Amino acid sequence: MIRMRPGLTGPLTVGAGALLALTLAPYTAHSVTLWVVYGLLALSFTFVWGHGGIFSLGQAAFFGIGGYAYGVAGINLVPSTGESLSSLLIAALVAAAVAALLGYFVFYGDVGDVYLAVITIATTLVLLTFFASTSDSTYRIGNALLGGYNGMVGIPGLVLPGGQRLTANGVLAVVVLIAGGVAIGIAVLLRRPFGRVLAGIRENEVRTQLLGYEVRARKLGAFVIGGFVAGLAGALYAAWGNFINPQVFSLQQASLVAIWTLVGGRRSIPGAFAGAFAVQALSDYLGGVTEGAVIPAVLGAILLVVVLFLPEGVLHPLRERVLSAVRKGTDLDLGVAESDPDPEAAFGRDATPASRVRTVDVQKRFGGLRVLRGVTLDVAPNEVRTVIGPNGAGKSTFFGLLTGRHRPDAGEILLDGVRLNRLRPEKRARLGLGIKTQVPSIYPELSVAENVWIAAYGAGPDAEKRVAEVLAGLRLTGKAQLPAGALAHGEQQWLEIGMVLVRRPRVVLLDEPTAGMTRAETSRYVELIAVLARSATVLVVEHDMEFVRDLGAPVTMLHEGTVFAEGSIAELRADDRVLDVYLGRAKADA
Amino acid sequence: MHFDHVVIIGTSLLYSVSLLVVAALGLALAFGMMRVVNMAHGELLMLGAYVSITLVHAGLGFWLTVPVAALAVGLLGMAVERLILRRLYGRIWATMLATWGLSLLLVGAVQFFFGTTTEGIANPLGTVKVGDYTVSAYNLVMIGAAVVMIVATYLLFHRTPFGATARAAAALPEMASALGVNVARTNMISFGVAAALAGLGGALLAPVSGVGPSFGQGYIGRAFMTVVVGGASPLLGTTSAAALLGGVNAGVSNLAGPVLGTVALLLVSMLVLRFLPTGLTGLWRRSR
Amino acid sequence: MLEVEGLHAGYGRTAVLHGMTLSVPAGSRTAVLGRNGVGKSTLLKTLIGLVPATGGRILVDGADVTGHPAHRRARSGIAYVPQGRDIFPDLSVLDNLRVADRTGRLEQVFDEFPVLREKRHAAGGSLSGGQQQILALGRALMTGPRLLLLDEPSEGIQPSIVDQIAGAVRRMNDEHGLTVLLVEQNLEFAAGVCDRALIVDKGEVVRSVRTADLLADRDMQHEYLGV
Repeated sequence: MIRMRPGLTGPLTVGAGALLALTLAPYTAHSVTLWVVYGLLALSFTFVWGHGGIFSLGQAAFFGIGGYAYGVAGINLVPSTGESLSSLLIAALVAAAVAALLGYFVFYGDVGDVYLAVITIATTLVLLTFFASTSDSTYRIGNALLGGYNGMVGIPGLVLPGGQRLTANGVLAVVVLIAGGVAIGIAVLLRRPFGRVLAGIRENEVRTQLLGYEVRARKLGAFVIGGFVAGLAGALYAAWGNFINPQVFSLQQASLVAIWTLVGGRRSIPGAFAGAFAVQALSDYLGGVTEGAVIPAVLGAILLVVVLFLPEGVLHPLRERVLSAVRKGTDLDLGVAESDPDPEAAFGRDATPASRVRTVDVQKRFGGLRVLRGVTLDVAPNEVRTVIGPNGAGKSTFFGLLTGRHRPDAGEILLDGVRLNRLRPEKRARLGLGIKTQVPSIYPELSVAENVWIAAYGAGPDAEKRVAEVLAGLRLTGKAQLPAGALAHGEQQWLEIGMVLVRRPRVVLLDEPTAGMTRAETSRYVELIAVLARSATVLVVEHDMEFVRDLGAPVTMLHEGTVFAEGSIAELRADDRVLDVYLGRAKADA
Repeated sequence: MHFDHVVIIGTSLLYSVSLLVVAALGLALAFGMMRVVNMAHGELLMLGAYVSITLVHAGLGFWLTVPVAALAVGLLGMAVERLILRRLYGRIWATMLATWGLSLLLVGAVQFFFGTTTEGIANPLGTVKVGDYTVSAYNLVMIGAAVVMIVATYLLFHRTPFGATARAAAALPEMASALGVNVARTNMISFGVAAALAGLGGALLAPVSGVGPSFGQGYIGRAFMTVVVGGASPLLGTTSAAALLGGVNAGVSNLAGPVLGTVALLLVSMLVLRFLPTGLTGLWRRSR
Repeated sequence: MLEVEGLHAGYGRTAVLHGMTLSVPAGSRTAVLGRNGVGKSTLLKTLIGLVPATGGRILVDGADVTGHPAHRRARSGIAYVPQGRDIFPDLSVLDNLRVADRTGRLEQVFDEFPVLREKRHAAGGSLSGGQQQILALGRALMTGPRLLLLDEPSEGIQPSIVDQIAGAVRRMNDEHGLTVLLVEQNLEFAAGVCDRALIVDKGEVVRSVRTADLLADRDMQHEYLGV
């Protein structure tokens, strides 16, 4: 159902490319080598941004660092080792280490997306200033002079072990093999669990966290890999030209990375190379027929036009259009009627013990506002409990305290006696808490199967099997390959519940689960919760009274941040105080 | 240490801070108010410098060219908001990449019309004697200009009806529109003001650095750092970040040379962000 | 004054209003009641233009405003006090009012709500909930409206201020003929301000009743408003 391994297309393409490299005219081969190196740099941005969702403008910085590091390593080591591959590796590792340092500050400082972009670009520009001001001959590492604005010269080219010198065609072939190898490696990585969870983080970070994944470490991992690839590209660049200067850190150079990737399509691995080839070929052509000033203007215009009118890129959609024309007729029928799920088949399993959820006098204030004045609640294992209350009673804050979105100011939140108060959401998820938020929180651009798989993977073995069961029970097997965003609203709600339950949680928290559902869907939900209670404790926050009545579970009513009444729905209906609260009559001490 | 020495060191610190304010204020305003990271900010500085130098060559006095540069770049900024940014609000990466494209376009255009050579504007003022030392009078003007820019921006946004409307439209655009504010038009003017500040800054910086197509690059890195370290509040953030970074940069540069000065600037920025992810503004907000 | 015909609206893929039809006569005070989540707030947002209508028509004094942007509706005489008040927190009270100033009524609003004059230099965000609610109402009146949309002005506010707001709204209606459409949970407050109530359930108007009748009918309260 989900492809884990890439086919042979990639290796064959790379092999063919390497052979082709040997047939080009040496001068052409020399130019094309640079294009391939740029393609590798573009690939690092495709990976970090297109797949990881990390809008890092620092790829040029890692490229430059890789280049300088290769220069330093090569000048100092190649005379003794007689080959430069080890210097390439060192350079890429240095770039990765810098990425790790920067990434640590960014991801563990919980810096927002905007700041991430600005910090990475600012770092690049500060490096430009730094390297430009190292012209004094005291700025040297071993035999390598940094060289200030004029750059570092005398960097050794590619030398394979054995010390034989390569022709221009030989260099191109080696660069194609390296870049192709990296591209295949990235493609494989993206199909592996790491890559798929990364796609989940890109699509919906909160959901991924609620499924128990440590998001920050994974983003840092992706960022470091991106730094490694960019650094490798920078090292190859320095080896290609035997030279590097601070212009690699310039805004213009950094913008090229974005242009290549955007032109090729921001998720496409071959597109990264195609974009670099197309843009560089155009630049070279323009450089030949006009004066230099035209090139930045044309590149800028391309960038503007792509962002404003073709956000999916130029080359990638073209390819998709051709492919879909070829595939026509085999597509899934999108007109299938909405599915009617079968909760018993999807989630019914043997009765298992669930967990006890207790809160003891939990309090929360936002600024001067005491939203929760102390809520004490005890939900026994396998019990279903509904929490209701008028607007402003504190329901969503209470829910947020249980999920880990907020931290309590006082009181205890206990799961089987384990204190949850300050645990991050992913830790709570791993302790067996399953959370369904109010708005369907799914991965809209990933396939339905992929959505459930990401949820299942982190929670034990046999992920594939559990995915298949859940999809069958939700009657979504026929739509498993559709993007989840294409499902109807009700189906998205069911998909999300499937994602929560495939993890076999011991406690399920449902926040207004029937919002936006039809009556028929709502009654299916009542069935679902009954099935669920056999293996989990269920806490429902809800304001749809019809649903609460149908559910027939014990009700806890919150009012002004504290428990106002508890009992069956019939008891609460008979209680005049409850009606008064709902009509806004009973004002406590205001 | 003699009094004149203290004055000289104080002036050089203040000058270093004022450069950051002059270079960064327009960027900070666009970012803080409208969440627009304007990658073309450096080129707006550059255009301000070019307007100034062109008019000086045409025979206008330097001081007269400064407001003209602000006006011209401000109008360009309004056009940019109307034609580009308006379609992209809410998508940070799109605004960044689009303004980046604009930045390249402007560099190309300037290279096409003015060539790649760097020209200078003669420093319009002489030097001032402080005890045994001399200091460039224009440096003092720069310090004064930074103060005037901060104060004028404060007055515009905190003491005029337009300012209230602009801040309201930036904070809660839906509520503002429900009160009859034409948010689209207000944003256009706000971005125009941010661009005008960049144009003004560029003209003011022209005499202290050569005017060429890469003019903006000389300032953009430090301007970005100032904004990142300053955080969301354009005035408070820019002032405090400029003071911190300018002080550190000037201090370390004096003691250990410009390279370590740059390194120190980068390190301080990283440390601030690790512990104050929302910049120095976060610190101000917290202490209130 | 206000005619709504078959109005459909919602957020993304979630439809909230399913063909809502209602009519508010000029100079009337009408409440919109119903449980949480039935679409009351969405109705007001669609009327002021913050949520786009996906079907149906909105007529104000016979003019179709369905396609107009929010600021045009505000300038044509509709004012909106949102749930949660949406005070501009960093703006002073004075600036909060000035943003909405279309008719130079600052003194009038200060006279109506002296607390705003007293606090005019304080930041909007520093006011208490009740004061913010008064500011939100004063700010709406600055636009010189003919139709006032109020979304739960009594929520989380102490009774004395609730009374003050009710009095002010009634007075604006009596003296200036301001038409009022009020969304509420607080039945007593709604009945104190409005004589007629539209009961909403599942995105449609299901009943139109006199608020006095609703106040006296416990069964109807249970059916439409209670748990």
